Amino acid sequence: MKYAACKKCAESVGMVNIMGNILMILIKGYMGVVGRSKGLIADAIHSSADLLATIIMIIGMKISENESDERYPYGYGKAEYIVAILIYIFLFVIGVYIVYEGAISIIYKHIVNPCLTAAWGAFFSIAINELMFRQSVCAGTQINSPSMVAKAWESRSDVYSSIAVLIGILGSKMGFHFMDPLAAIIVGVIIIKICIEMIKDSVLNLMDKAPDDEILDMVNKSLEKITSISGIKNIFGREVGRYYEFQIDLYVEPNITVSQGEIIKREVKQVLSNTIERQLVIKVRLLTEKKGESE
Amino acid sequence: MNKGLIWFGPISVVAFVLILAVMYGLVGNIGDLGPSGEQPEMNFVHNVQTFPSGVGDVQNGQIQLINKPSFPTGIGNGQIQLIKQNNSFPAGIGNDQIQLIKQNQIQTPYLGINIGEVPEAVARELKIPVGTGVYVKSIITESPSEKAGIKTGDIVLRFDHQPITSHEQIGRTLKTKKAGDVVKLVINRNGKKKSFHVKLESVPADIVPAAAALKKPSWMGADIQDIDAVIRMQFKLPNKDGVIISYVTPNSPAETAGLKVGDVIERFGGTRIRDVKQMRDLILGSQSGQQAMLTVFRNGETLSLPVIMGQQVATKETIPFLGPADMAIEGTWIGMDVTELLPEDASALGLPPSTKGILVNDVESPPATMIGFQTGDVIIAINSIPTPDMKGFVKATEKQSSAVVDLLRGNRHIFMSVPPPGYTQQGSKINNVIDNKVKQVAVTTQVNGIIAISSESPDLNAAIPQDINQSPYLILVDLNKNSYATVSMNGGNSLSNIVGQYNITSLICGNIPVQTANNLSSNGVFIYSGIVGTANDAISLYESGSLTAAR
Ligand SMILES: [Zn+2]
Repeated sequence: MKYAACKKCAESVGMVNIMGNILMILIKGYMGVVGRSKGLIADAIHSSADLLATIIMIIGMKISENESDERYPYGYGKAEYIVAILIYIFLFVIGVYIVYEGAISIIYKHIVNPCLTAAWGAFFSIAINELMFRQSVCAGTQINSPSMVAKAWESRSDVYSSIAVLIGILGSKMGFHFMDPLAAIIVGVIIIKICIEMIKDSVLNLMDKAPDDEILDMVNKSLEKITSISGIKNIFGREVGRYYEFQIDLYVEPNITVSQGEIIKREVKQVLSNTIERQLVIKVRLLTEKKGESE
Repeated sequence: MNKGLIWFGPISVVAFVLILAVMYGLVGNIGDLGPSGEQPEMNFVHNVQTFPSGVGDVQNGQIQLINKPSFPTGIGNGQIQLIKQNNSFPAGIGNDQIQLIKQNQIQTPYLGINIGEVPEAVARELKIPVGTGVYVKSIITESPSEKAGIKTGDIVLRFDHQPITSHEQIGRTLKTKKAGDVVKLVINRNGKKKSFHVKLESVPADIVPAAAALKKPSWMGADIQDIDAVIRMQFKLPNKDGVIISYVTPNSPAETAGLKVGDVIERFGGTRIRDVKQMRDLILGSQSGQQAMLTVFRNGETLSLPVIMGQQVATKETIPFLGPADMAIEGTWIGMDVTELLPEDASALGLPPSTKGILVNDVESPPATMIGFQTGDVIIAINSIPTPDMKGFVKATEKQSSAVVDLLRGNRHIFMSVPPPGYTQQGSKINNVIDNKVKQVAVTTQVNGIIAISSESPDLNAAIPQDINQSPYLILVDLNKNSYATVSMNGGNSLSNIVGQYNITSLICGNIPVQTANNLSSNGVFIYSGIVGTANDAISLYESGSLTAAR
């Protein structure tokens, strides 16, 4: 880390993202309507989709923090995915509508004649997204967070979508009236793509999909370092909200005492929480090795 | 964290997305969502390219808005004709002129009225001494005058506290003003004095390029007009899209192309036509000699007619010697006094002396006042029946309760819609005006069963007669089965018999005697009276639930 300020900067990334998106939705929505640009309105909806993704993530955290109760002994972690699916199905429909309406406008030669106001909206959007991208990349690199850098590249794709909108508006102003709806269609396709990805993710998580292979590999590798374990029977894992839940069955020497077993369990949990950057719920069962099953 | 607060975020974003989606759908379909400044802007670019030499002239010289009585109708296709004049032409002088731009780039503020001498007939009618006031011949749309409430046909008596005796005076006074100044106008409107305050503005940008273009204005030669509900009904149009032609100038490009009065222009090239203003801009934006493909709706068919834009040729008509005035034949109709148009009236109104028609002398009471008739209008046809004299006029108005009136105002043909009693021009019902004898009640449930509609002929497109006692047919409609049958009411087949025989639950008709109505409704028949239009119109009104049963 070059400067101490970078940590503060990195902490503010989330908030800047939310504020930036709200600001852009308002600017693009207003200027799109007043400036009569289909592309800019579609882009405002795109920013709304991005904002909703962030909001859902925050809600997911809040819900997961809620304690479990008698009715839901495993907590409310999965509510996040249900909400996400509902919202993204809604956005998917909107995305399809944007593409359809845009196509209708082109086919029937509706006069879409945006004002310069709309071009300013697209311009602001490009500028704000680019600034957010730069901040995230810089902060992400400084605090060494690949996920933050990945998020940053997402804002970059928003810049491209706004550039398409700007080109559409300027094209329409030059008399190519199909260009603004065409930009809207492109944005609509981006929205649909986001929705499909999010819905797919949420459904898989609802179905208790196992964590990615690399995570399982990491678990395996770190467990192998623990000498008191004689073998690994199986590792089951799933995502619950922002937690990973692991069910790990291990083989140990048959002659250890109960307190030695507890020490092993604690060690496993310690090792795993050092390797994986997310909150974990780990259940460890210790089994004695049966003859014939080892090596 | 509060649970409600958590959901507030996504719900508000989702709601916002919904609103945006709705607005998204509207953009491009309805052009008038926002401030429309685009079309003129495009025009301007276009004009600069087309008339490079004219641009300098426009800035240094002067543009006059001219409305000469001797021009044939249909000039420029719009409501106003813009013609560029000589550089040396002083501001505000000459007959029927409005000055838009002053010399030396100092802009005279813009008033937006087209003024002329008070027509003799009008002066006589309103008992205004000769040489007093100036006559408002037309108003430019969205001009300061229109915003202030000044109307065509008004007579300006005082302008900026000075009595006005000639229109040059207004031009002179205007030159001493600037945009933003407020000027008081005292006006004689139909004999009553009114005062208005007009806040002057600078000349709107779109008038300048339009005027520049009209140095050699592209011209089609058809008067066009927006379509309202009455016009739609009269011409049996499927919707209100496009603009309707109210007059085709002889020997114009429009006539050559085969355009006819009553044609609805739906598209100009690939562009869908929304209103007169848009159509006018499109015509002005094209060049003379250029061909435009018009999509025209005529008698249920859609035609494509190529029109080659031309240029307006100003023709001067010689005014023949006028004999002594004949005796005026007077009449009244829907709240106005009318006389046969005399040649002297015609020349006073700036019309060709050979014009035949009915002159509106006085507009005194509703519905004429509401509809927008004005003193000085000349009615030349009603529902396509010509009204060259009082006899024809009486015949044309005899059986009409809704009508499209073809009239001349200034040098423009206007279709004036006279809605049926109890309706507005847009086809919506005016409450409590329908029939004072029957009380209106809110309709609670739609009744299923047979609906009887009184009709002129056994045809769903036939008109509903004004009086049910003169109705030759009843059309019986079963909405459940989407079927209808017709019954003749001649030969002793009385209304109550038919109602009983066919189990009729609702009756749609024109006027109905109170006694008959009472008898029927005491037998449980819902009566929808005072309805005008075709049986088809009545059915759709009934189905949409917009009819109100009377009791
Ligand atoms: Zn995005």
